[in-house]
Amino acid sequence: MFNTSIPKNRHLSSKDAENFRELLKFYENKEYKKALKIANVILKSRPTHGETLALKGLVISSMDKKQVDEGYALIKQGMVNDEFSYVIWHVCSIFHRNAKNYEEAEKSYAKALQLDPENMNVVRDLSLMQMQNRRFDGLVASRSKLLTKQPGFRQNWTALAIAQHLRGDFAAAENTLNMFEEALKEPLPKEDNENSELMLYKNQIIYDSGDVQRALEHLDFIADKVLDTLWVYEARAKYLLELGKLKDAEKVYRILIKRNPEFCDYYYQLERALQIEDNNNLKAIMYRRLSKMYPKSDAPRSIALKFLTGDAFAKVVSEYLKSFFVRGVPSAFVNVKGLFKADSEKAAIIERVVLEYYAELKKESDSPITLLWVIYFLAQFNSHVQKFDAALEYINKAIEHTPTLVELYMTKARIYKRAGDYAQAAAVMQEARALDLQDRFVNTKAVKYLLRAGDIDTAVEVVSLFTKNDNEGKGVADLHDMQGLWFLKEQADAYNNAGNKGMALKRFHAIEEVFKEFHDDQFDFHFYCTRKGTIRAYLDMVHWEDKLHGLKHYKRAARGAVEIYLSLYDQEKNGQANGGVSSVDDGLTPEERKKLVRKAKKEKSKELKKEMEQLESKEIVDEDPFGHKLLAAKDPLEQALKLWKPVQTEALSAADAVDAGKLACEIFARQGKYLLAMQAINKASAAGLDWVYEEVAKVRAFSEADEAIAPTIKIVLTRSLTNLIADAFEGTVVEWLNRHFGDDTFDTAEPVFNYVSARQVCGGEEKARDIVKVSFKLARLNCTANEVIRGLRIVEQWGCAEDVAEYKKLASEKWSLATALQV
Amino acid sequence: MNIRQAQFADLPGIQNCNLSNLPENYPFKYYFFHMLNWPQLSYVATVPDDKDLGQEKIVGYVLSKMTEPPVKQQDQGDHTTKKRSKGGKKKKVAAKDFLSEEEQQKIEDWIPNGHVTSLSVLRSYRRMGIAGNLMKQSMRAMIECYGGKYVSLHVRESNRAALHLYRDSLRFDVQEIEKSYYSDGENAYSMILYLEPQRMEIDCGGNLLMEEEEVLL
Repeated sequence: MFNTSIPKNRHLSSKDAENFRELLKFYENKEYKKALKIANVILKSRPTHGETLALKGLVISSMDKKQVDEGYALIKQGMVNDEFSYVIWHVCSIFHRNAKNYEEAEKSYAKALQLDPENMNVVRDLSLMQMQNRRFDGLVASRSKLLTKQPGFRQNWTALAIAQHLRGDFAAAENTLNMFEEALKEPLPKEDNENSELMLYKNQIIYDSGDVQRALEHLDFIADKVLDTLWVYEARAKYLLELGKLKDAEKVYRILIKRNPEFCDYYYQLERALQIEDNNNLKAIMYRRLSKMYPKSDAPRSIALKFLTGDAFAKVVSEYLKSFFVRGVPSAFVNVKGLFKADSEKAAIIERVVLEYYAELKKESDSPITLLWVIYFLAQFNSHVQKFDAALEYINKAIEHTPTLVELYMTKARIYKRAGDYAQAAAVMQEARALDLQDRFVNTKAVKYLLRAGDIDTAVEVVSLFTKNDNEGKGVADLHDMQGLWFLKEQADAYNNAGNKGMALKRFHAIEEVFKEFHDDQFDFHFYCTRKGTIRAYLDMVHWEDKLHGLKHYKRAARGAVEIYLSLYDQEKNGQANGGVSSVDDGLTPEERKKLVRKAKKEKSKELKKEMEQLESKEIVDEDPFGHKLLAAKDPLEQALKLWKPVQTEALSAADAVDAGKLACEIFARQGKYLLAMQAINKASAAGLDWVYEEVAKVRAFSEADEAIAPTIKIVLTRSLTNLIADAFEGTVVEWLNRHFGDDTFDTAEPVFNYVSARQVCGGEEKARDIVKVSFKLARLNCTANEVIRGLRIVEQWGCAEDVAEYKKLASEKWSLATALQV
Repeated sequence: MNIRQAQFADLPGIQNCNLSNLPENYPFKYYFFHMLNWPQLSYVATVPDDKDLGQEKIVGYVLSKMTEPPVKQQDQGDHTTKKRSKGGKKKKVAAKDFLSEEEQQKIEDWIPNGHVTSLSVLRSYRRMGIAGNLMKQSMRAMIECYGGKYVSLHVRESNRAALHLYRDSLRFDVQEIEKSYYSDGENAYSMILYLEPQRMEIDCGGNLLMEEEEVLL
């Protein structure tokens, strides 16, 4: 115990002390009004009493979010008045914890514990913060303390083992669980799920320690004492395979397939156990037999289609597809489309066998439904290979045949979308929706298509048919509450396409906010799961949380926002360079520009009106309803980095890391952090040099334009760039860039966009010409409608009217349905 | 296509699938809650994601749980009741004394049972038997891991496809119609199925010392 007596300024009269106890009780019962009242009574006689001030601060910040700052100030004041009170530090911890600021909370709990080392509640709460913040050393210490004090609780044993495990100390973790087993007087019954979980967890620790042989032995020992049969089988099969006991592994994988014949991974592992991964003949036999054993299963058939070729492939795929057509399975096409992505020969074979079947069916007239599904397939196939006229012909034929089938309209809409007619695509999807108003799936599709077509208002109207709506009948707020990532992302893109960067940023940040919620959600389970005993699942969660920002939903949103921030920075910089006048040439005629300005003004006044209305109403006010504050960020590059950094540190794979590094490089180069940019380039170059040409050019361009660059940095940068690419400084940066992006580079759309992005940064007289010239390649490339239209936008920005007309003429030969390309 | 046990990495995809497919939606934490309480019960159907190489896309899921006993036992985590303070012990006794006979009976009659919180398959992947497969895997886990004796679920009165699946394919019985079960006022069929592995053609358990299977290769 803290061995000084109570300081004078903390001491309260017996009446006030009584009141203080009341205050604590009221706070704990969340009776904040009463708590506040009584706090004020104490403060009347003792205005500087630190602990009361702090508690008052906590109370008012709990009452109303608007008073958080005021509350914190009181806590701070309390601390100044009475700096060694553990109560105040405890109050401060709770304040930070309530604000989900776990870093600060951990510090405060640690301080509180210093002042009151035997307080087990504080130890426990500190351990939760340490877990949330992944401070494993401290976590082991805290949990050891708790176990020593309260060895009678199973959860204290488990909690310590988890801490040791996460810290990488497998032997200690296993030992802790052994000690618990020994402490039990008699073994727990099998029905005790928590005990079953604990034994399996111990097995996982042994495996994680790298001792597979012992893990196998332990697993065999506990197998009939645990409840999670599937896990036992899967772990056993994995261990056997890793130990090279292939015969035994094979048996277990066959059992697993029998239990669930639809999980492809079991089949792949079976191939490994049989050592036939590279022998297509034996594999063909195996999958044929397994297909017979499991006649209803898709997996053995679809896996075989991947490695079969030629006639063998034609035979199997024909049977495979026919069975779908006969049963009327709408997903026949999506089930095989993966095959011809990798292999154009397979696409030709599939088209041939389906056309043959089609001809056959047309002769007989007794299976019209089957015929319908064949036509449906051919429509999808032609859409996929970008023969849009043929695709439309097929789908219209199908609709004529059965005018009430939602799937047909959905596919028709998709054909228009892929062909670049977004308005028509949305209109047809609306037709599909009208055929089945109760189905949310087609509602969702319609909303997506409307957003792609830029009709944000109608999209909101339609999506609100299935949401809990606000006073104006709109469900956008509900979709935020329900963490509707798809909607936030699609709406952000729609705003972005319409040039409304403020709203786009706002939605991208809303996605960031959802991920923050995902991250905070784990907190309660640090305690809950040790009690509940589901440790293996809990650890899966912990590891998943650690890579949260590597998930595609976050990455896409962060990238969208970062690109806007970069463009804001570039605009600002160009504006300054030209004496405040924006130099961005938007390629518009004066009339068009006037129209845009008028439209923007109208929008602005609409937005302003709404903002005022919101301010007047008493509801919770969105402080930045249109993203204006986001747009006005003083440090767009810092904002960008804040969003993007976690993508880099939590990358899920090497390829992801390369990708993350490239965008990080863009930010660093603009910030003048050339060495960090260089680091990112070096990492990315592992994937091949052509991955980094774009970035190398940019770093060179930015650093050469930077008059304030330190000479030493310049030398280091030059040296490391030359180390990576010997000719990195031969010629001007433009010459260098053009040399490395030769004509043969542009076989897909991506290098075109990469070139354009780099060329914009590099300057030089020929800039606009170069950009337009390369963009023209998109008009003839094998790419998507989206990409060819993006090309048009670039030509509109950098070229003259003739360039635009010429581009449209060239591109519309192939993209005759794309509205944007019509002359 | 794959059918497999759900993992944490699947949760955003499951939530997304639910939100774009069904009117009943849940915050992410509720999915967490399922996975951390009954990690074996939820399954997903996935296909390769053509926008993201090497990744899977969720096209169907079943989110399941076990129902809690009628009165929560106190302090399940405590295995040393004897060592506990007297206060704690007193509380436990006191709680029991307050139970009415009816409540007591409820506790005695209670048998472990599962409940399907939510199941859906994207429209474009229907008629491949995905829903039935998801259900079978989930029901087996209810039996094996939790000794589940029956499983229950709710179906919208207007959802004929779902009714067909549960009643005709999986042989659930309609227990009752719950009036205005859904927030929009629609009635629900409350359905139930006794978990009898053999009748359901689900092989459960099995022995780990496996007898020789027919060697196929």
